[in-house]
Formats: sequence, C-alpha cells, structure tokens
Amino acid sequence: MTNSPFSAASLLAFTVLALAPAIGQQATPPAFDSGSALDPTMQFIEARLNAIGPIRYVISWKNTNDGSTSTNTIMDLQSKFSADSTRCRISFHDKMISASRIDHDGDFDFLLNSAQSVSVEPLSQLDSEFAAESGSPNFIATSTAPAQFALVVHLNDGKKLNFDFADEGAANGVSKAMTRAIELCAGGASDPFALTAEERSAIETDQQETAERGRQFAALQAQKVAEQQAAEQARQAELQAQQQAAAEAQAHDQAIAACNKQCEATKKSCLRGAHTLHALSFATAMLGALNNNSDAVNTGTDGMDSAHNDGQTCNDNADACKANCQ
Amino acid sequence: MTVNCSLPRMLFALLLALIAPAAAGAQQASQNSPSLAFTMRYIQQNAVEGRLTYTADVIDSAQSGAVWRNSFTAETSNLTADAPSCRLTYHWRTEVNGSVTDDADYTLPLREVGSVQVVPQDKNQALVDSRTGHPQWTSRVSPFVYALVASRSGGVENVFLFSSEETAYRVAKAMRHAVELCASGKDTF
Repeated sequence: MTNSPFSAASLLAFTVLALAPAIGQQATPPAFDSGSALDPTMQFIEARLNAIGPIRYVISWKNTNDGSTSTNTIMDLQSKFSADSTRCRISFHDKMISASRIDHDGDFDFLLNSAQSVSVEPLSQLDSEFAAESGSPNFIATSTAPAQFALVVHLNDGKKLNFDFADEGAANGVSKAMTRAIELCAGGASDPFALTAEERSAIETDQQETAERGRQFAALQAQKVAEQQAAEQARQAELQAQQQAAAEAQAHDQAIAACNKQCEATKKSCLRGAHTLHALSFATAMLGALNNNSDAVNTGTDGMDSAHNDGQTCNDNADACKANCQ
Repeated sequence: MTVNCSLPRMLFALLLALIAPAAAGAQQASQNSPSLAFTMRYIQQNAVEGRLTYTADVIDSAQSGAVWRNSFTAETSNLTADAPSCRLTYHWRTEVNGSVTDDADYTLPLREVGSVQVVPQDKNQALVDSRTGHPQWTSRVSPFVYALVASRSGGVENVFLFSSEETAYRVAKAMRHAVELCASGKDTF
C-alpha cells in the first residue's frame, strides 16, 4: 500500500471523534430531550463535544482507475467548544494531522441560523463525497479503522462541515440536539424568513456594489494621500526658498557693509594726506607772515586751498565708492 | 491630516421616538404566515449580534488631502420583542475611538415603522453624514457591517448592526412581517 496522492484530512473541514469508550468518556450519555429550550440544548451540545479528546484512525482509499489502494493515518483534536445560545454560534479549535503533517490548526465557528439540516453517515461515505467534490471521484474511501460516523451540518450556502464520532448513537444524540438548536435559532429549512433566490441575488449585488465602492474609495484615498504628500512637498519647497532668500539677503547686506567699510578706510587715508598738507601750508603761511615774506604767505595760502580741495575730493570719492557698493 | 470624528457622526445610532402614523398600506397577514408571537421571538433571537467592532476610513472630498480613521464598537443587548405591545426594547452602547458616545435603553414601536431596510454600513454612514451636513464625506467600513434601518416618520431611525448580511436580511424580513401584523391588528396570539 502507498499513501494516497491527496490527503484525506484535507477533505475534512472539521472532524471530531466523540465518546469513544477507550478514552474514558461516558459510554451511554443521557438522551437528548427534543423539547428542550435553547440554553439547555446548547449546553448539551457543548458538553458532548467538549468530552471528546484526541482521536486517531486510519482511512483506506481505493483508486478505481487502477485498482490501487492507499491509507492515511489521521490524528485530530477538536477542543474549546463553545455553544453560545445568545448568538446561536458554535465555536471551537481544530488541529488535524494527516500522515505526520499538520493539515490545519485554527479556530472555527458557524452560526446555527445559517444551517439547513444535520445528518449522520459513515465517515468513509462522506470522505468519498468530498473526494468527488474535490475532482477525484475515482478515489473511494472504503473504510475507517476504527469505524467513524460523521455528523454533517449542511449550511445555507451549500457548504457542509462534519464532526466525527466512534459511536453512532452518540452522533445521533448530538445530531438531534443540533437539529433542535437550529430550529430554535430559527434556521433550518423550515425558517419562514429564509431568503429567496431573488433575495440572495440582491445580497450578491449588494456585495458587488460594496466591493466596487471599496475600490473607488481606495483610488480616492490614494489620490488624497498623494495630495497630502504634494502639499507637504510644496510646503517644504516654500520653506527652503524662504530660507535661501534670507541667506542671500544676509550675504548681500554683509557685502555692502564690507564695501562701505573699505570706502571709509580709503576716505580716512585720503583725508589724512589733506590734513597734513593743510597743516604744513598753514605753518608756511604763518612763518611767512612773521618774517614779512609775502611769497611764503602766498605759498602757504595756496597749499591750504589745495588741502581743502583735496579733502573735498576725498569725501566725493568716498560717496561715489559707497554708491558703487549698493 | 488627521481629524478626530465628532459626536454628530454617531447620530446614525438611534434617535428617540416621535409620534408617527402606523405603517401605511400594511397588508393583512395570510393565515399561513408566521404568527406575531413566533415572529417576535424570531427577531429577539436573531437581532442581537453582541459586540461589533469596525473601523471607518473617511475621506473629505472637499478638503485637499483630508483622510482620517475612526474606530467603532457597537453592542445591542437585552433585546425584548414584546408581541402584545408590538414593541422592541433593547440597550444600545457605542464607542467611537474609545469614548462612549451612547449607552441607553431604546424602544422601537413597530406600529410606527414605515420601512425596514438593510444597508451596508458605508452607505448608511454616507446618508447620516449627508443629513448632518457632510455630504462630501465618504466612508469605507472594515470589516463589512450591515445596518438594519427601521425608519419612522420625521427621520427617526432605529439601527441594528450585523456582521452577517444574510442574518440582517432575514431579520429585516421578519421585522417587516411583524410591522404588517402589528399594523393590521389581525394577529391572534
């Protein structure tokens, strides 16, 4: 025998083995009272499912194309069952290992008012159905060892999920309770407010329109984000330009100040020469006057005039220099 | 830019009752249709989803670059559907961005209901925003949430939120049936 080309476990949405005497559960649980209210019904389901521990079984397959056979060893642990009567929801954790590899490991839940019906059938039969639905109708599950029975919950959307039991009676008990819970949660085929095909079509249209609005929103959001980024970039560029202009203005002012300073220095040097000429000329003129030397007086007077003109030229040159600094 | 949502955005939640005429054109229930007692029990069992949490990304199309996000929680509890009085009573609690915006008991008199509709919450939010002066706001709600809106005259609305659109539609169907039965007064318990 060889392993089958696909995992049996992968065909099973949810699997539970219930009430196996070998692992110590109650061999004959109390029968379910079909007249129970929702709360005790949900408590019954929760208690029965939580009493299940890890289970192992071997499923045998036959390939009708070539007559070959194969097996898979399955280990499954479903735990943390919670049957919430307020929300009509059953939730649980499921970890399944097939051929030593984890097939799935996660939290699951379903709404009882989304369920149509419940049935019990041999697990091998259900696995054959899953194989066919998965596109491998040539694979037939011939048996499970030990024997397993699947409690199958048929959902409104056509999907189904299953819980596995070693004891067919126990499976029927939970099935009865779950059927009652579905009725009380107003699900099931008898739900007078179940949706018509037309109403389901309206929901599909709704969902398509919602998805389209989501796409339009995403496009608009991307545009808004781009606008935000562009605005920020513009703000940064403006700030940078302002900083650059301020720096340039400061540099310009500093250059003017330096130029003016240079003009002033030149002016001072120039005036120093004029003042010297004036002082010497004044002295010449004074000595000439004391000695009655008219030539010396004239020379000194001319020098003082010249010094005065030089000083004026120094001032004019400085003004012209500063004007050029601007 | 980030802008926190203001309280008026939660006005969609629930507005208290005004006197309104009975549902016009209510049809007499057929003899084979579910009784009012059954229908009210159905509503009571299915209209409460517990605590729902979702976020709404909002865009202000009139304001360049304005995008923000609000986080919502909404919880309906203690729903009682009373067939003799044709009333639903329940507690409604909502939080927006961690702040409680509503935490009160409400009554929905079915005889005053004019229409019951299921609307994706993003559309419902757009309607509410438009009414409160913000037609330029567009919301995207995640995960999808569906609003059952029971409308009365004067713009008074009671809203029930659902994560399952199918459940919302089924409860809406039951509520319309209850409204018809309550308006006709033909139902015997």
